Formats: sequence, C-alpha cells, structure tokens
Amino acid sequence: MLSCKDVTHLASESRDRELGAMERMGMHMHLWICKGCRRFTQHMELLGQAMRMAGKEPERIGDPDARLSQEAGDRIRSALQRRLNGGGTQD
Amino acid sequence: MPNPSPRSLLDPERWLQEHGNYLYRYALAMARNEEIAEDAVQECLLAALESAERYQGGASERTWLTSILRNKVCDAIRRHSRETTMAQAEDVFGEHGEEEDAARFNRRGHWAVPLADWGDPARSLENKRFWQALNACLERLPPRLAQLFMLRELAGMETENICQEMEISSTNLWTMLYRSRMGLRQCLEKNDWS
Ligand SMILES: [Zn+2]
Repeated sequence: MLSCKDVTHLASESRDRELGAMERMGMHMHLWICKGCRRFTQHMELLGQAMRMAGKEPERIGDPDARLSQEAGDRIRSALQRRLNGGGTQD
Repeated sequence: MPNPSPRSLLDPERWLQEHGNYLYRYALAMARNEEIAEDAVQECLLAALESAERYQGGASERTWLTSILRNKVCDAIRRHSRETTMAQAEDVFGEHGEEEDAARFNRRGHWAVPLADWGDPARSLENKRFWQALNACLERLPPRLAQLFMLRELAGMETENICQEMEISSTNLWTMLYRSRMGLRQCLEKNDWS
C-alpha cells in the first residue's frame, strides 16, 4: 500500500509525466480511502488552474507596478534600431 | 531569394510603448529577476522583428509577443544561470527536502497534520485574497524553484523541453517541481484566504 508521501509524489509527477498503469492504480486505490490525499490532489489542481489562468492574464501575478526602467528601455530601443538598420553587431 | 520583409513597416518602437511594460511584468513574474526580465523583453522584440512576416495577425499582437516572450524568458534564465554560480541550484538539492518532509509526514509516511478543505476551486479563483496569498507564497519560494515552476505551470512548457534547456535530468526537474508545489500548498494553507 502506498503511503501518503508516495501519493503526493505521484500526484505531483502526474502533472509532468505519464504515470505507469501500476502507479495509477496504486494512487487511485489510496485516494479511495484517504481524504487527506484527495484534498491534496484538489489543491494541486487549483494551483495548476491558477497558474494557467495567470499565464493568460499575467496581471494576476507579480508586481502590477513594475515598469521597464528608462535605461533598459533605451538599451532595448537601440538594439532594435541596430537590427532594423540591418546590423546585428554593436556599433 | 524572397524579398526581405518590409522592415520600414515594422514599428518596434510602438511595440515597446504599448507592450513593453506588460511584457516586462510577465517576464519578471516568471524569472523573478530584473536583469533576466529585461534581457528577455529585448530578445523577444528582436525575435518578433525577425518573425514579423510570419505573423498573420490572427492572434492579438500582445498574444503573439507573449508567446515569443515565454521562450525568451527560458533562454534568458539559462544564460543567466550559466553566468552565475550554480550554488543557487545546489541549494535546492540540499537536505532541506528531507527536513520539510519530516514535518509533513509521520514515520509511516502519512500526513502528520490534516489538510484543510479549500472549498470550491472556481470560487477560489475569483477570490482576490486567494491571488494575494498565492503571490505572497510565490515570492517566498526559492528563485530557482519558482523559475522552473513558472516555466512548467504558467508557461506550460513541456518537461522534456525544460530539461533540455536547463540541462537538468527529468528526475531533478520532477523533484524540484514537487518541492515547489509542496511549498506553495503549505504556504497557502497557512494563509487564511478562504
Ligand atoms: Zn493519503
């Protein structure tokens, strides 16, 4: 029988790789009887949904007031200008 | 040879004006480092210049730029981690993992502390306090873990690509993503947002 700790690893990895048949079965059997791990998988799902949402609406995470600094803006502008003028090299 | 794209029609200055800060915030959220974020925005706009002729205007300009940005953030993180010491990466492989687990699970590997019911996920996602808590928790994650977590869950990069780009094994990646998720979950549970 898998422990809760084992199941948390499988639940996390199931988001990153395809689990084997035995792993899936072991996990489902454990989830059947374990409320803690059922909650854990719900928490993982919410976390995943939130991050997907943040990927589409980035204003949800990070610092809403962050701005490109003047220097960075100038640097980027001149790099773009150089590229537009046909050269990839420094002037 | 095909004609070069009409570069005079491209307006990177306007991209920078209209989307610069937006792209920067996105990159900053993913990379957690100003230098990397600036670097990524620059590379993103340069790449956009190159591929502008292939942009058919289907998606919005911002969506198009954002999709370029995701890969550029990944490149910039990689370049940066090559330049800086790998101590940061070592740190997350340290013994902390074992300690964290010892507090979460008992000797038989079962939950030491019962998990809270977070209620309806759809409502959580509409809850401003959930997002505040999530932001605070992301902030507390070690930067390297946060970067990998963002590439995977926010940018939706395939694990194989992350491993290739970051030159880490898949086992390492799974472990670090596990530790990110465990850390975030525990932090969220401590925050009373529901
Ligand atoms: Zn369990």
